[in-house]
Amino acid sequence: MKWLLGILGLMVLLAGGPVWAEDGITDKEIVIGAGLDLTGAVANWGVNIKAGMEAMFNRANAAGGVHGRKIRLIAYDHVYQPPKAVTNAKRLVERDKVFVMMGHLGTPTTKAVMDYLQERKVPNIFPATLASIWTTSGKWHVGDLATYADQTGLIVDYLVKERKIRKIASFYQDDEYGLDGHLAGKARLKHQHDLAYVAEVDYKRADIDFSSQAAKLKESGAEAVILQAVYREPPRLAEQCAAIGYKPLFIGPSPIVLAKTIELGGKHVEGLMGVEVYPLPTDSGAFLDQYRADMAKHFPGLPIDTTNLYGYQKAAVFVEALQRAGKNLTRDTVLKAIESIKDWDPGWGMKYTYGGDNRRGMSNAGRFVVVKDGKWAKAGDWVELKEVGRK
Amino acid sequence: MTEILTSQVVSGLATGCVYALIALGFVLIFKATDVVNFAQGEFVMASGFMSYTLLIGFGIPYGLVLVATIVLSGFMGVVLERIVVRPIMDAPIFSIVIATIGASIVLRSSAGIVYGYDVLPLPTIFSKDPVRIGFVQFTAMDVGVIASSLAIMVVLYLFFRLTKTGTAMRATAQSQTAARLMGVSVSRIFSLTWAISAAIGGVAGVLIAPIIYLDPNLGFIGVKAFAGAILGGFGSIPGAIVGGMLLGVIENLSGYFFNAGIKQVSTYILLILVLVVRPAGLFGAAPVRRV
Amino acid sequence: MRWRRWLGGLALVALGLILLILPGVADNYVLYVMTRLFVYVLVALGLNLLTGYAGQVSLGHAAFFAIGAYTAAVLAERWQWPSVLCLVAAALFTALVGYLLGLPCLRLSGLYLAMATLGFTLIVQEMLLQLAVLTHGSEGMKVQPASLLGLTFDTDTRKYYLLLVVTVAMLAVARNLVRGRLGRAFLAIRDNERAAAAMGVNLARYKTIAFALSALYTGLAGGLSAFIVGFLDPQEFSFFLSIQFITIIILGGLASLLGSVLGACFLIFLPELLAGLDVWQALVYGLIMVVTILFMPFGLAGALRRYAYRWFGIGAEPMIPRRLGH
Repeated sequence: MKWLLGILGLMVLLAGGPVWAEDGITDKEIVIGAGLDLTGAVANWGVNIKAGMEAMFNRANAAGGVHGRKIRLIAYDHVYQPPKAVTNAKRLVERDKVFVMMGHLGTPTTKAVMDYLQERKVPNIFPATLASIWTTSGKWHVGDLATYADQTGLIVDYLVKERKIRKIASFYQDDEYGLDGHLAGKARLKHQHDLAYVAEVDYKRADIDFSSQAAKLKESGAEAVILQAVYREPPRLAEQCAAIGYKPLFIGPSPIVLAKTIELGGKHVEGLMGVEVYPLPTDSGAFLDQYRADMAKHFPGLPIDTTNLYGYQKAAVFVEALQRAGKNLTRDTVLKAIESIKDWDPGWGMKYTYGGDNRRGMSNAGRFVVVKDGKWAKAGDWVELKEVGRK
Repeated sequence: MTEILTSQVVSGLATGCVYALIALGFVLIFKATDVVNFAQGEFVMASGFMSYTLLIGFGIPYGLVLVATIVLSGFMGVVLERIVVRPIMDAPIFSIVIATIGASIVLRSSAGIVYGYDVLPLPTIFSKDPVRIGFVQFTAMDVGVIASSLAIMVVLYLFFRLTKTGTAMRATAQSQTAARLMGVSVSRIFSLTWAISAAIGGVAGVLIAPIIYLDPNLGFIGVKAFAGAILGGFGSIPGAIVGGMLLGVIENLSGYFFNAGIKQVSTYILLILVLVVRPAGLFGAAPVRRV
Repeated sequence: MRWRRWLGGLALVALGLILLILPGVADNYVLYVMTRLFVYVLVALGLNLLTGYAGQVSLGHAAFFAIGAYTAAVLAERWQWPSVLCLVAAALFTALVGYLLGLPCLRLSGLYLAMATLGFTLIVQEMLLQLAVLTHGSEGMKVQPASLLGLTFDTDTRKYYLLLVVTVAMLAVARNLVRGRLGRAFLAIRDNERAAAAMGVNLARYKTIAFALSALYTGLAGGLSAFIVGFLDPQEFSFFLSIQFITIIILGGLASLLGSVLGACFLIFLPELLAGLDVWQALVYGLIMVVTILFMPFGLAGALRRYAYRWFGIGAEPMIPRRLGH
């Protein structure tokens, strides 16, 4: 008898329930997918971005969901390997039937899945890479923050115009991440200021010793060194430069603006400058209070950190877009809803704007910060970044 | 120019000493048991985290932490040998190597689960401020690392030469059967070898973690140390030391004269060239054919 | 008892049928995972010929894999070669590289050979970055789907069948090779080089053949992988991949074609089964790996053969020498 009831129930469900045209959406639920690195080379970002997104979704779900729909995040580990990223994307799209892909981590891994997502018409929302490629990839790929290239443009203009520094060197990670900013800086110097780097010094992601790089930078006589690096290299580089008596101005785009940089570098990173593309997790503001409370509640083991704030703010903008898209949610309406976000401030003094020629957000997207007395401090106001290409 | 070159050599030696210590761990185990322990790098990582917990979590003074880390790492080595290696001692060597690879994955991911994948700075007693003597510029850190590594090597040398256990270990490395006939407990020697190797890895961890920061993937430094050991001649203790140091210096110099890419592969290019000329490394004897 | 002989054949036919009808019942995710499996089986076959049969340890197969992948991709992108020619060229060029690498490696054995080939992996990886004119360096390289006689292999089903056919064919070739003169020469070299030489096996010739043949399989697998994944990035071809490859054949079973297949299944399927475990995935994977080797020190194929003999009396108790590669 039971199985008969079961079949009857199923028939009622099938007949009575609304038929959603798209995957991942029911009356009760929105399923979103993420391909992240949870155990590999950049696992620190993956683990924290996932936690940040989940903290925000938990908040939305606790408030009854968005238009009655709870958000469920499914994340798989791609270990920063493109073939594995493709496997995960297929699993998320074909089997888990996600509504959108969100916060996909890494430039090579996201490049490997971008054509597939586009072919299946699954929006690739706010991939966790600030490579310049996302500004020009069309409707299905929505980048979220100012790119490394644009940030470097800002840095170059600042150094040449305001600091009157003409001897500028580049210290960059020898991969797609480091090259993005490095080449953009080179182009900006050449086209805008008729200058060139006095030294171009590279390193590998897993390198542990930068004494040879320090020696080369010192020999070039550069007064400022632009760091296309992540947070673990600048402290060691600054230390080894100091060891040979060389103290230039170190400055770099957002991946170096972390509390960790100071924790690792101590006095050696005093005076280090960076560009931030969203406020520091320790700043004041209602949105940040809410973020800190959510992290403490859902992930007490993780620190209050730029990495998970990165995921949290992505999720916040996405939830806002879901609100705006309304009850009749489709992939098209959510993409339109994101474009409708103009000068939207979640409550921390920074405004998001999407849409227009390119799909990049946040017209007032960057500001300078500096390490002062062992803390990151503001060194300027939010400014609108110009778009700077790599060529 | 000479000034820069000499400071490159000094800091290369410091990194090289740590490679040499890890290489030593590889070689000791290999000599005694014919096994290449792919978890050697993870010993370094795990002991780095151990000392971090003792130092920061429990606030134990540095000297005590050093001793405790050496003891705990040695213990970890014995445990690994008992659980992962001993049960399949009669299996093909390849299988044991795979078991150590599995163990390295377990250690790495455990560290990731407990400590997260964020990097942690391990405090050190050595200052990182520059010191200058004549035209050579270096930091107390460099000298401290070099001196501590050399001290460990001397202690090990004396241990192998002067103590009865040390002699028994050398005898086991030469011939297990003969050692057994002379009344040496070979299984005890095996455990002891793993303990010493892991303890050396522990020292390497405490020395290198303040320089390169702690994270679960720190163990991959083992690959470079392995290359150093091969360069010197695997199975030769002086070879491991010279190979490791040479590697550190070559890396630094090639990084200075070329770019990061060349720096990365310079060691391996040199390694292949050396092996073509001397198939058993710089100090290695011609490989014994075990038929 | 005759049924024992039939049992193996029956299992094989059933497996064949399942593989043939799989695209009808499975989703694209499963099919993609299967194509990855076939790619890894091809690599494992190649590596097993060299390491399992001929006793030459190689940690250079990530490099062969990369050379095959990039050869096919560059020929297709830059000179618009037909896909078949791209794949053939990838296999042959990699075989040539394998042959050339085999020459200086003749004098090396065991660990020294492992390290030299590991160095080769790292050098090739760096060259992929330096030769950005052809490979696009760290930017990565997109690869269009393969096509053959007007048929484009752009869906997962088509890719699956392409790989299934190639893998079965190459498996048959490998089976013939190891059962023939070549296989016997390889085994003789592995077990005792001097004795093999005394029996008239030309060591240098057969060792370099083993290298070339092994590279051929791996290069072909690389080329196919490029067309399947559709994106190449140099950082994918790290020493870590080489270690994965050697893990496959040791876990699966050295000097065993069945072992190559089983090992590849282990390495491809297990992470997929564990995918929901989040950060615990790697830990569980490592534990299973350790436990597997502890209980099956002669690999999955060795264990399978042993129990097939003990329980059903099929085949013979496997004999595997303890020391390999010395």
